[in-house]
Amino acid sequence: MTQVFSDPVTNTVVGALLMIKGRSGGVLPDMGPDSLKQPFDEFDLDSMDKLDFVMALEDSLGKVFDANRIVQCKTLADIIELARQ
Amino acid sequence: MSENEFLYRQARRLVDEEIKRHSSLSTHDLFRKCWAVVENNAENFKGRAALSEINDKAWRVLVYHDLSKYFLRIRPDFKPQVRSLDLSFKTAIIASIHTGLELGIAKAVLERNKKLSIIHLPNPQNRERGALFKLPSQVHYIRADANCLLNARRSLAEGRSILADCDHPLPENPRANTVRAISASIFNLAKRTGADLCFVLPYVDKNGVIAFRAEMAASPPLTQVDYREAFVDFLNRSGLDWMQWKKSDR
Repeated sequence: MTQVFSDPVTNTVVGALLMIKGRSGGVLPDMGPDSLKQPFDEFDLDSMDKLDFVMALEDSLGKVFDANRIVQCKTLADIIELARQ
Repeated sequence: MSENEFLYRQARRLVDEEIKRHSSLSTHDLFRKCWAVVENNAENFKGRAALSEINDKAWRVLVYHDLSKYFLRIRPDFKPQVRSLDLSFKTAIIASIHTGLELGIAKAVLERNKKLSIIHLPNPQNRERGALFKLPSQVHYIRADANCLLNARRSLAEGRSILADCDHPLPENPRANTVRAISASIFNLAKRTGADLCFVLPYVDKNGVIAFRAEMAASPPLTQVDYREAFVDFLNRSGLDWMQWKKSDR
């Protein structure tokens, strides 16, 4: 079961990921603290999902990510750190 | 040897004879002479399509590939000639399909002093075509992977147009030559970024020059336009109505 994180940025990032995963009707991953350190590739997002994930984050956070930096993020924790900057 | 193969070999001999006869000509003029032989013996060269199990309307592209590869070997200065691309855009997403002539689109775009990114897979076939078209080093390549749309969005923001093939083989029948799937990805990028979108289909004209059928996609309201259907309609109107196009989730 996915937990609610106390940190709002973490919640936004995890929420965006679950929204993208959920729209295809597949099984949603359980998201806990360990999931944040899981390799991002394991969430199996294709190019369209990744674009929509990043754009959903940008809409929520009111900022535009540098593509060079976002593609270098290996885990959700890296993306959360980038989102805070 | 099949009848088509026999006819095609015979036809290729006519080209070899033309090359011997006019060996003092410049590469460009020699290629033009050879292409005239192709056009004058079209019925024999059409057999080339059957060898690839593809509709005989596609014969010119296949013969062009064979002949240009051959020319690159015997005349390393050979460069494919391209017509101009008459579309007015500042930066745009250019949607095309795999024909082996897509780098001709790149060449035409670059000749109009536009900056360009090409979404591609760095496989041996693409490297070979890159060598044929001799594109300048300022062309920016985006690897076709899970990050490609993010990288393409960045390129657009930096003022580069994007060239991408939108078709791919059917997963259930990857060797089928008359059925292809059309991906939604690049059209999704156009919708999400609001970038201009144009459809371009390169072909080989009767002078052996790469020419283009091209049109801008419909303008906004973007959400009401199914770009993928519009693209398939464009392909069908451009002479590819013998192909079957299926939608894919990619």
